[in-house]
Amino acid sequence: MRNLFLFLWKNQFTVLFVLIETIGFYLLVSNNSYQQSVVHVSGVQLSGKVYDFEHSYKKYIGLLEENEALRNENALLRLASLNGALTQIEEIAQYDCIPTQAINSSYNLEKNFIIVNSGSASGLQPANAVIGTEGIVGIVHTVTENYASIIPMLHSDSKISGRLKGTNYFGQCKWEGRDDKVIMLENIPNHVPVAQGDTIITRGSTGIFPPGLIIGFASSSERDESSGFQRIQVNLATNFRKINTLYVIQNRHKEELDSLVLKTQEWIEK
Amino acid sequence: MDREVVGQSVRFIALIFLQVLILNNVLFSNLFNPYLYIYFILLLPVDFRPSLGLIVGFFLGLSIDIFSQTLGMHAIATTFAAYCRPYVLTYMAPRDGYEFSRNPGVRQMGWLWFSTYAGIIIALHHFVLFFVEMFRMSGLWQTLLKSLCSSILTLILVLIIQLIFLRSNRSNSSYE
Repeated sequence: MRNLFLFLWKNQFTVLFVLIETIGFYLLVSNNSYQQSVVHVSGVQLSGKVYDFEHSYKKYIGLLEENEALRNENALLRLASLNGALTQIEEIAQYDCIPTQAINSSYNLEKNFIIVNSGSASGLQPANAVIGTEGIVGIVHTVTENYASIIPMLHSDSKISGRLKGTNYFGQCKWEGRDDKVIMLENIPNHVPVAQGDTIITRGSTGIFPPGLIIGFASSSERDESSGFQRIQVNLATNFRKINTLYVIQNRHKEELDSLVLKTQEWIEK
Repeated sequence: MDREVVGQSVRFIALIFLQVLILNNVLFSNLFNPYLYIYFILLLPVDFRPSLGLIVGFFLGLSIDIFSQTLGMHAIATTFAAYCRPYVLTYMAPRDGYEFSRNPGVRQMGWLWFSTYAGIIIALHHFVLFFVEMFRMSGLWQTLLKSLCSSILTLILVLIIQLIFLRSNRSNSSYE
């Protein structure tokens, strides 16, 4: 310890230099959005590499379960095509689907994240939708060449428009940051009857998610007489503790929809 | 001594205003961005305390940053220049050492010595500045080219200022 102090005292000039430069870099990264994004992207890249390595060892452990889930999904798809859902397929051609794999994820934070091992090289773009085998998962945030980070529904900033299946009533799905199995659907009027087990699906209003994908199932609702809206507790279809195979959905009409929405807003503001 | 401090302070403020109000708005091309304020670091007295020099450098850079919305960038580069200055001075010391404790200028050290000294520190400062601005390895060549071009321009401006003060001092020796 004494030697350390001696060393520091001898090199006080350099120590002071390092100290001041640290302050400088702190100022730089916290105040300049470009430098901030570079730090963020290289962070994603680095953690992506580390978790990819970890994943290469871990992926065999859940293989049986994963195969089972994929088989089930295949069966469902085959069923749909056998039942002649051709009209739907026409509509679906609007979307691209890119399979990917989660290599790291969290479910116990306030702002959770998922890292997947596909990036811009596979065609991923920020703001693409991400779904799992059971239901929707989240939205792509940062994309590097070979990795991407995803903001899951379990994130305090996540807002997804949800619709009560079988009705035209819709509301906002928000995560309240406690239970990784539950989100709240807000803004459904009080008079709409909600039964336990009712399906909540995506509305597709922003063009990120295709309409009609399963978000979860209603478990209970509390009516707020003062506002006239009820809050529905929704059990998520996706199990965020077992995130593995994911699909990234791209909407080919997204830009078109966005520009239309923008023009409409401009027109309304006039 | 007091007069020296006042003179330095005036130079400090004058250079910041010159940089922020005029030079920051001069854009010859993307490659030529003169950062003349580094002149202040160049002209600190030879026996100026190095650690004090770091702090002065940081605040000089920070002042430029505040006016050009680049918080941190100039502070980092100028601190780095102030860090390198004592080493450059030691490396370039004349055989019999520095005989004076005044500013290292053309009058005391001659054109060749001063140009080399200024060139090294300006180049180091500009390289760090543009590197931090670019902030990635892939643009290294562009950063190098940009720092080379800008350094030459800054060096020319520094030498012009030296020339002006050399003339005015010669004609008016009472200014000393």
